[in-house]
Amino acid sequence: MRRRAAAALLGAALLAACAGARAQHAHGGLGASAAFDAQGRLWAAYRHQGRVAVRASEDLGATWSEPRFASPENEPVAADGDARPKIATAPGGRVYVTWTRPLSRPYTGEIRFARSVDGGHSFSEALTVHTDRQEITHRFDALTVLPDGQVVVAWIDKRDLEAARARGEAYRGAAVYAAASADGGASFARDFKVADHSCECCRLALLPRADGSIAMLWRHVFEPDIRDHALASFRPDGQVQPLRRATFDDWRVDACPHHGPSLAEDAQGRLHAVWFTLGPRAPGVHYGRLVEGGVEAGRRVGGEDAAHADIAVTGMRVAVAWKGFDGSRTWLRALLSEDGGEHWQELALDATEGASDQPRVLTHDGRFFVFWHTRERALGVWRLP
Amino acid sequence: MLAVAPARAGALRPFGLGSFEEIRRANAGRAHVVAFWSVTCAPCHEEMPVWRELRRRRPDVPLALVSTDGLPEAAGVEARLAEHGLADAPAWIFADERVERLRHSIDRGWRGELPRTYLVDARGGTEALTGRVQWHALADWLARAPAR
Repeated sequence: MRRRAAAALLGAALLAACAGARAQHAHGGLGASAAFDAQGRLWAAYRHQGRVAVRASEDLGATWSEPRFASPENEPVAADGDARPKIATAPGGRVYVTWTRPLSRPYTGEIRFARSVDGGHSFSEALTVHTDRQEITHRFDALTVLPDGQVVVAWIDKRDLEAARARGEAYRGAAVYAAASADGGASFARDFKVADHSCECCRLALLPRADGSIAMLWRHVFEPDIRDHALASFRPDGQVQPLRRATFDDWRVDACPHHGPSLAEDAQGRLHAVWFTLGPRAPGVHYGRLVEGGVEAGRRVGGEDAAHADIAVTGMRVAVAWKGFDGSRTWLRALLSEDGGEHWQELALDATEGASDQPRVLTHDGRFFVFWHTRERALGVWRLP
Repeated sequence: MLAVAPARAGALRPFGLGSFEEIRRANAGRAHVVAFWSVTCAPCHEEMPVWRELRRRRPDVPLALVSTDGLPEAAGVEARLAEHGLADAPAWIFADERVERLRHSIDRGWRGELPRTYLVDARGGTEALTGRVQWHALADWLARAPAR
């Protein structure tokens, strides 16, 4: 106890020592998410004063409503690196939010959920999504709403690793679990496993499909230690299709890249993805269409500094956004294709000298919007041509 | 310039833009190791016994442990180091939230993956490793790299 108090005092002293420098006054925690509702209102969730705050914009991000808190006081919220609160909307003024609540033991956590049924004016009490209540890893929440209104949450879960350890067995990585709510977020059904052996520290990409299934793309750990990506399909009732390998970069490493993929679907039902690899052939950020056994129309995204890309598709138009630090500023850039990923134009959108979150690409009414939360400019939105 | 005098050996030092160079200068002429890690990185925890072993077997090879978790996590970082028997190892913590800028000042080729380890020989020759470092790899380097 004394050591913790001393460490806390040290932490405070260190913070005080840095207080003079503007850019270091606040430290990290810029993880944010955004989503449009059916009326074109843009919603954002981010960490504010230590809690999940939700704001809405009626003018595509030019101005935002006052923050409303969606998480309880005194509950830590993960908002760094690949972790961030998530937000989704549903008809009838529903706003859903998830976040990872770090617990006291290292890399342990709980997946938390709260909802508003009154257009964001108030949020319910938070609930814990997963059935398993051990104080172990449940982190990197991903949230989506299906066409029929069911709410689906997925996350990285170490119950299988812990069970294997207890038996004295090895277990690669972690597992991915999911749970569904059929009552608009009032409660979640029993959770179920989607895959074993995921990488334990990268965000998951969830994509609801027209047939009611959900596609998921994630960084996996293929035997023995290949951190390439896998794709699986599951249904909210727990039916899961076997995973298939999605990327083939052959990145063999026992490390935490903290760098997950994104996934989108075009009007022809083809899957488009962006991901990061340090595999030997072509390190960096990549785009491609995922097909059985390979990748089509694959290309590098950005230069050597490219990081944390996101992708969205509307019709046959594809947009990718990413950021990269050029030695003096962090740039926000985008790639735009009108023909399903065959031809592209590159755009430079903005630059910042301070800290920044990962950009997100959103669609509304056939248009693309890039959402980027930075220290210099909170909850920024850029409309693509 | 951040100047916080450590209260005791092993107290966390704030790591800023000039800190990597500062560590290299302080250890110039000797083989030394700078290891970046995070509380949220499982392979980093699995690697910690190797650093304890390095300090035990080769106290002549300075080790600097740098947490990328950021100042607000200082208490957790200190606790983790103590759990691993590394409370007295020279330890730093990222003190600038502009992490891309910090990493760039250390190594343009580092994309943020952890653990990330820099093996610096006595002549300043530097090897960058990504992923969990195993003792035999470290021992190999110690055997062949100029140590003084």
